[in-house]
Amino acid sequence: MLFNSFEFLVFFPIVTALYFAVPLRLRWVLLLVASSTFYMAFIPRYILIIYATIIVDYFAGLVIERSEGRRRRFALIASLVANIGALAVFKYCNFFIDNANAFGRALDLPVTMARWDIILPIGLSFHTFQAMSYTIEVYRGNVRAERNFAVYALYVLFYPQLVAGPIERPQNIIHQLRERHRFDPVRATEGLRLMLWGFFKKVVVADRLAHVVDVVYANPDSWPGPVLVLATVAFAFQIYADFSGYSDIAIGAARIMGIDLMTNFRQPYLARSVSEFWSRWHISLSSWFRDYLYFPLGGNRVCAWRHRFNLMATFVVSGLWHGANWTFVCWGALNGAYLIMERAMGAERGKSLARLLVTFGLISFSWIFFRASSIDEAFRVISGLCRDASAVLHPAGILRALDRADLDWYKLVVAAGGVLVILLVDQRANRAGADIAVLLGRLRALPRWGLYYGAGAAIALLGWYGEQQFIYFQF
Amino acid sequence: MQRFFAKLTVFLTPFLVGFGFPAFVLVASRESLSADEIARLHFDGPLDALYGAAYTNPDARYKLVGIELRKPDLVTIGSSRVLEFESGLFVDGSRRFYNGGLLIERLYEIRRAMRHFDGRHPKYVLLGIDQWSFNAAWPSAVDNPLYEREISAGVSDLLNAIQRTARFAWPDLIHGKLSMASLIGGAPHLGVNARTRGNGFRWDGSMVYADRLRDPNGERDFDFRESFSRIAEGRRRFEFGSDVDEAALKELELLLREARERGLEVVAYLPPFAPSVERRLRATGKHSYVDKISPVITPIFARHGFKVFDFTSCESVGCTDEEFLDGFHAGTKADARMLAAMADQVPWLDGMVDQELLTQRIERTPPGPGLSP
Repeated sequence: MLFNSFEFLVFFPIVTALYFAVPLRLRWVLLLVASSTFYMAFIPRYILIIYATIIVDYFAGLVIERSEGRRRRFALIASLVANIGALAVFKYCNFFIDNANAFGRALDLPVTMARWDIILPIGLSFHTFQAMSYTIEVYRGNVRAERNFAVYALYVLFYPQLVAGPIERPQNIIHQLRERHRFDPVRATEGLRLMLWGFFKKVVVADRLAHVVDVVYANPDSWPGPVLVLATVAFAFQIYADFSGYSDIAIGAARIMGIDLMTNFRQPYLARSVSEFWSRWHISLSSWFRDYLYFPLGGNRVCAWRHRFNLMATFVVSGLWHGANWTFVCWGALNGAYLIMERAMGAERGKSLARLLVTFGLISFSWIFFRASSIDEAFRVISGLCRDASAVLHPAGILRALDRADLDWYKLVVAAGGVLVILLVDQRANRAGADIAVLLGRLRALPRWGLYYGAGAAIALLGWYGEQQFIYFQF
Repeated sequence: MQRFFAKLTVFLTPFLVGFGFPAFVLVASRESLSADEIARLHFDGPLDALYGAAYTNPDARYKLVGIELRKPDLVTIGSSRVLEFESGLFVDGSRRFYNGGLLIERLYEIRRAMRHFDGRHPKYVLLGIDQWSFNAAWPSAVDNPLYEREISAGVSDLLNAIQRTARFAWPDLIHGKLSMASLIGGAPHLGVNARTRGNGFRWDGSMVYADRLRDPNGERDFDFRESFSRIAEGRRRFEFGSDVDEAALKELELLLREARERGLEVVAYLPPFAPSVERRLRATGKHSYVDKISPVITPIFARHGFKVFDFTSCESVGCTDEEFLDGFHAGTKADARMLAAMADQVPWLDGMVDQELLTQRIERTPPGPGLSP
């Protein structure tokens, strides 16, 4: 079920109303049923995969807590193998087959393996990582194993963050699922504000920008460089509006029910360095890799070369987490290289606007690999970035060309206006150190209600509905 | 808590009122259904039922599913300019023919659409290619990924539909264009346009323009003034152009090769303009690419073993201005004339048309775009 669908518009108020109406002892049952229903709206049978890993991880957690030595370690490994195995089978199997076949062709071997006809279970990378963080934390003794199977299942399945995060930690979420939450109008108002903002970012900005990006990236060779640059910048904002919009809706929906999810984005495009960008972008995943991969590899408490290796390895694995394609590996490696160079040059700190623009440029450039469907396509885009640069002197010609590709001025103005609004809000939020829900609360009634209606009207009248999934659903 | 819900009600009320009525219009007329559901309902429904949407536009997908369900031997493919070919023009047409007009709008879309055919149905394609497809100023060979999404997605897109409808349904209600009685009434038609105005696709995919036939003077292009204006100003598909677009020719080459590989028999034609409009088009001297199309594309079709007919001027087959719905949409009678001319030279098409009966029907039909049974 998509957040930006008619089904969710019906599902959300009903589930929320029932959540506060039923007795506490039945709430987790309600949420478990609702979350399973939410997930099964995509491909019903895939719920079995989640429940299979939930069962393994639940018992692994209990065994880890009650055992010592090898048995304890074996339980952790069993849990990790089950989760990584699910990822390997459903997400990376065809990637492996394709590469093995390509390798075979290069060696003139007569054997080829057939691809597996399978659809990736939605949000698989998210819930497996969340499940792994549970068994790892139990193993480390940071959290007690959950005795109640349903509560543990709900930790993995909690519908607002099930398919695209934030990837939560057991310390933050399990106790909240057990607590008694009364309906709190203040929290509900904040949650609704976040959801309103999330919907604005998704349907008004991200999906409008998607239109521009899709058309240009479908034929990168047929557009002049300035249009490719425009589409690449548009994608940078599309993916931000899309994913942070999803996170806002998820956090807002959970907050209404009294549950606090972790912050996932903190104005990333206001970062003055790549390392700062990564402390603001997809925070729940970055901190996951930091805690469970980068630190165990030694982090920065090792020699310089080993430190560089650790950084690169973490980002390459992060790239692979995003998708089974060499484009994502390149994207991760490029960001790892940025960080290594930045640290070598001592360029991690500074406040100037130029730093902000350079950081944005570097990150946007790396998104080319993220957006392209193949390495070849990425290099076609890159090689075209400087083509016909003089076209920028004839914007009317560019607009005409875009118009012919179904991108009329109305769509462009809505998308550009939405980006400006996001930047403006981010700048305010960054300065105030607060999210938009808090910022809105500080306004007087008239401007606040003006913004409510403005956002509502923009979502209702300018939004784009139904066809665009959230980008991160594919991971 | 009461204060919270009071505020929430104040916030939501304008949206519920503003979008509730459009949602009702869509649901009552069944325009809210997905293209797949509508195609299925139309297929299973009575033969006289029409499907005509006013506020949504799932035509391409609807036509594709229509072809999948009816499994015709012959389909017409093209823009709205091929929509007046109806099953009655063909022998055993109700079983063998389906009008796929509006399955595509642009040249590049034809190949994408063909890839969705099942390999057995259709076997024959009557392809109408608009003249402006070959005008570089109206590039139709540019790929647009949205088209693939449009014809592939059979899901209901209710929020998008409500949003679009909200812009038009209220003004239409105020101006009396939207009749609640016809929306709720018992007519078997699907869609607001079909229910309120009687316009829509017939069971065979051809189009009924009931309001144009009822009141030709009410049509915006009455006396072809709109067409003349577009020609003079070079806008809305009448953009000026002197040369045939090379990219379009390449695309044509690819699409004919793919059609041949898929075992399809294709006969193509350049759809007609009303004689007065066609004369005006040539008189400007700014649309000279039109005259260059046929000499360039005929050898391309021949190379792949297909024929193409140039009916830009259809006076040669006897068409008159009265036989047109507007400046560039021929009525069924004009289509029948062209069909007879094509069947004369294409054996497989000749086998699907009773030329003698067609000639009799043309002769006994009074002036106008329709064709007597």
